[in-house]
Amino acid sequence: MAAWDVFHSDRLELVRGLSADQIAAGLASGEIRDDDLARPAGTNTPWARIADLPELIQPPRQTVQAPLDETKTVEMPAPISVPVPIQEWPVDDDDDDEEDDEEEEIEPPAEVERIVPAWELTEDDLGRDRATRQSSSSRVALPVVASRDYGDRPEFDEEDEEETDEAPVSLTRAGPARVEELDLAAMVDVAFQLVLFFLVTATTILYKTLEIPKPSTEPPPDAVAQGRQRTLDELQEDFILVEIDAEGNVQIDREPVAADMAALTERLRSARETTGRTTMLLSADFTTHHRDAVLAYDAANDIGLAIAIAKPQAPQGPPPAFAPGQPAAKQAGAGEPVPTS
Amino acid sequence: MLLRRESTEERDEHIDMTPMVDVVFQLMTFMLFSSQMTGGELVDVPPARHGVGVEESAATFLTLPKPMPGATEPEVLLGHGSGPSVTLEQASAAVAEAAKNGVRKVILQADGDVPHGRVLEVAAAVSQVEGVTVHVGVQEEPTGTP
Repeated sequence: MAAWDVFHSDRLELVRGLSADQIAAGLASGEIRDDDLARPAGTNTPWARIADLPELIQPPRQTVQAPLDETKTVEMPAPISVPVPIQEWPVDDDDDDEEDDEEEEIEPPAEVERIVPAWELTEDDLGRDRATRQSSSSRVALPVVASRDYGDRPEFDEEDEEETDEAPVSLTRAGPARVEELDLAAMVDVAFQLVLFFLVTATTILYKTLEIPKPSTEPPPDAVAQGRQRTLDELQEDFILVEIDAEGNVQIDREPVAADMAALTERLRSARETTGRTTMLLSADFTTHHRDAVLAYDAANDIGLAIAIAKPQAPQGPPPAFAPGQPAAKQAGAGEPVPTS
Repeated sequence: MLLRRESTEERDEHIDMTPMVDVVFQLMTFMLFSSQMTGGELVDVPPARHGVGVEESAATFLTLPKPMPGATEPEVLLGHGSGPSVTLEQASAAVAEAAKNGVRKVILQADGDVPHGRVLEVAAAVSQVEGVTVHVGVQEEPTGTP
């Protein structure tokens, strides 16, 4: 058994001539740390960390395999070496279902097998072997190889595997949400159909109108003003006479009335109730604004009076009523009334 | 595994159509209540409280626009104000042609400033066509009017 010099780096103390078993016992008890330095006793070999010297780290495992050591067969290192890479590569046990490429990359275990027999080398060979062991066969080197191999799998890491285990759980959660989701496409289709329907039907436009009696196409009688006045007086017995001049002033039965809807309606109602007349005779100037005439139509419709319209005589000469602010001509008068049908 | 997770994310990216449907129905309701189903008058026809609705396709329209200062007499336009200016005879002929096709109503879209006598002249001219009824176009009274 080779002797070793151990340098305690924490307390700067050198201990000479320790056997590998003593170093293993010191490591187990904590007396010696992995960071402490060691070299073969009596040599000038550079100091190396105990953790980098597998021959000092491995002996405890040999004690575990003590019954095998007792056989003292030459082949013993090989059976011992076989479980070592398996124990040092526990992560790869889960990769059995990975690609075959990964198995091809697991070369370090074979390298370890090559190194393990080196434990039986003589003390003279230690220095030469140590140089190779420090680079590839140290205990630290194994995880390095494992990490490199580990890094070659960009997608399938431990987290993914854990999440893979959770994947069925996530699907279970998504199941009910998918079932509760309503298909709104049909509803949207119906909504747009309704929009189109109302757009098409809205093209039927109704115009608000007032029906008026047909005016007489015959020209008004060429009578003198006095004769017309007498005629209107006679018509007043049968019709509620509504006169509107060019300025919009309204008279009902020759009495002035405010030209608004409420006053007209009230006077027309009272005239109907007092005399029993049910038809309104509108006698307006030719130049009376159309809106004033419509006001009289609307008032008559409001209380249900029939409407008759006296056709006015067209003004002679240029139409002064079209000039703003100029009073209309007075020669226009009422003609024959045309009662509504 | 990852594919399943991505599919779940895609499902989450679906657009929620519920607010859009709500807005569509709100717009439909608004349009239903806001539309008055009346034609846009191209002339300022007088307001009136009463009146009857006449469909656009069931009447012949004659427009009497607001007279221009200095004009000899207000012109008569065929149609909704965009038609050609016609004489009383031409207007009567157009009404007669429409009456042959079953359109027996004539709507005079006269501006409120048109002389009352002129409206009656046009009405008397088109009344020569047998079976025709004459209407004057009015509009709804402005809100707030008593």
